[in-house]
Amino acid sequence: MRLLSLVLLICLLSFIQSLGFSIFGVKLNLALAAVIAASFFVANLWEGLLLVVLAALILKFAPGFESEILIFSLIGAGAILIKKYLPWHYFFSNLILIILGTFIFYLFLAANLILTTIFLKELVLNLIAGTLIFALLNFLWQNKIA
Amino acid sequence: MRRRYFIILIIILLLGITYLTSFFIKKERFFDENLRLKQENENLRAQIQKLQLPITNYQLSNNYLTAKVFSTYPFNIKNQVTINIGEKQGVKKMMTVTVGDNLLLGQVTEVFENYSVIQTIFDPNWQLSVRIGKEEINGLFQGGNEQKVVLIEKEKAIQISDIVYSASQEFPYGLKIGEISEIKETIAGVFKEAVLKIPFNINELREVNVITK
Repeated sequence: MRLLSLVLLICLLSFIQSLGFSIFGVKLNLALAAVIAASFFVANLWEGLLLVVLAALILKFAPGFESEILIFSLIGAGAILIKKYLPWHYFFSNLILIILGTFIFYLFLAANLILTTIFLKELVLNLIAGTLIFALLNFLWQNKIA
Repeated sequence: MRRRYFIILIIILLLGITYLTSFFIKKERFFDENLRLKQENENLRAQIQKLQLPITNYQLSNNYLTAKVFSTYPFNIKNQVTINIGEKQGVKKMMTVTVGDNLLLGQVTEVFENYSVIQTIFDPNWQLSVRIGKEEINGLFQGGNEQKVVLIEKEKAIQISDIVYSASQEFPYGLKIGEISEIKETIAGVFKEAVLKIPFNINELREVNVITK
């Protein structure tokens, strides 16, 4: 039931993102924030990877290979793998992973935008979205963090 | 255990579909009347401005294909867009893409059977010879986060709101790129720069034209 709920949540947020959802003209990376937040509530690595590949498939916007989708998948998978090695409370680990994930995404795809307000705005919005998603999942499954 | 194997199988299947096939979920943004009218307004304004410039005997060819902007990359990187026409509809690499009839958007860089990828003027690697205003002052347009015209001779008089248009042989002459919003010059430098205001928001694009001839 929990996995199904996470799958539906990831699918919904990825779809919303792929439709061009933006706040004040900035597209937040809803799928990345959702995947990272959800990674703390999956039972094992495979469930986490399932969420990542689902989001990647929904975000895919053109035929053929896209480096953006690959980078997104690798960041999502990386977050799932390293989350248990982070020494902080999961709430803060979630924030740190979102910051790292957003930074790495821009580093590989648009490094020249890192020192711009576009990156900062997206980072802030990703953090807000990730926090809200984490809070919602924590409320739903209190004391059942994986 | 079975559940785990089942999940692994689904992951492999989804990975294969995502990375090894051309399948993707088609998504189109909802029609927005206000945005369409705004875009049409900018296009008509560009047409009027072009008539006031010394661009003689130029008329946009009627040979163009109209395409929907299928989806921009769902991230904040604006250097490329995808459109819903490709090789089957007659699109070829290097074709010019405009917003309406008069606003330069970019150039086709990749063509698939039914879709194409456009490199836009917002790409940091984009460079284009341009002219400014009625005096036809030469400059070099550079794309990126801040779109600007560089290598403008210091003694040439340019003003805020001067029109910047394409003057490179790769593109139809006279396509509007933007208007000058800020002029930057240093005392020691030989050239000055102009920051442009682009008359459309790439996130709001719905339709574009691909010039076939």
